[in-house]
Amino acid sequence: MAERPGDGPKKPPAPAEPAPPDQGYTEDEEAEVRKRLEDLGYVE
Amino acid sequence: MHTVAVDILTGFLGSGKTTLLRHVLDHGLHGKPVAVIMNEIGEVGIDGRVVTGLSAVEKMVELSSGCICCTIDDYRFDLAVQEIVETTRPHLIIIESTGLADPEPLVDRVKAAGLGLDAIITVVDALDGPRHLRETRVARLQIEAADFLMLNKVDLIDSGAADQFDRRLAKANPRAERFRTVRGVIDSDVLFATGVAAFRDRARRADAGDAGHLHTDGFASFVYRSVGSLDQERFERLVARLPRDIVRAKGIVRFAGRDWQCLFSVTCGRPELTWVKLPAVAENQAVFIGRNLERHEETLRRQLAACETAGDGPQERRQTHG
Repeated sequence: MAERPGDGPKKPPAPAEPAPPDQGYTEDEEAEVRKRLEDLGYVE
Repeated sequence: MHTVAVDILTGFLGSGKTTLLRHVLDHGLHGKPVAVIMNEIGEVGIDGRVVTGLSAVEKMVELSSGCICCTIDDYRFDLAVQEIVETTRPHLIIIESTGLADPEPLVDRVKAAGLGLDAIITVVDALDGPRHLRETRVARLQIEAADFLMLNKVDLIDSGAADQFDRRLAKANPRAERFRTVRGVIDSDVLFATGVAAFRDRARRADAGDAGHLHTDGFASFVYRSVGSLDQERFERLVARLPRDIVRAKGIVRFAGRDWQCLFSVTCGRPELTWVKLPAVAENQAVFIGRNLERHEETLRRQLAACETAGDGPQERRQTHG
């Protein structure tokens, strides 16, 4: 399986996971984020 | 804000950026409203008038009197982004740079503003592009930074000259996916972030036996799903070494030992990863879009399965179209 030519993709920088005190989204925010991610093709 | 995607549209002066943008806004975003940032060096915006009033444009902000990659300060850029996000909450922001902008500093600005970089689209003038490359450094930088290279105005040169220039572009940026266009007309969903959902939809319809979804641009897609967690190191290695034929991959996955899920997006070999916490999304989901998937799908599925950690029960659904 041929890989992409050139310099080759850089390994993505290991993103830092958010700090534990951040509990994520509220229910309303989560619904909006979910809709956004659907429209951008991340989830269905 | 990382759930706001940004596509950067760049290209040398007169290459046809605004013409392409106008065409895409008119035909290519499946009715999804987007926000546009137009950057012009002069005090009076001209290009902005071309897209103002289009139904797909929910918000248009002009950054004039300076170049977005250097002379416009962070404050003005962040203010424009903040205004857009707070007033319209768009899913996608398209930034059209000046013809003299180096895309890389703009990429840094987008990331520093907490936005998700989706793609860099560079429009190249088929007629005058060779001269631009000879005379200016920034024309080369714009080509080298591209995920998608649009060789525009190919009707103004013969096919031999187009082939020759195309080979030169491929040498300058072998990672980019190249297209040829006339007056910015492009019929493909792979360029902009909002088009990926269309490929997901086609894959789903293919799974349901609907053959009416076949796309004319030669791209196909398949969807991977599994439950449980994945090995982060193996997965990162996989997405960093996707085959050349895979132009886009996107999804949400859960890694072993992590509370948050990973949103990943790979555009022409350039991976972007970020974190999100969505308990309602229990499974790993990803869509892979590219050419010649019949050569790659089985191998990719095997590699993805190898990322699944022991004890997880993968529930994959095979969906292919094209």
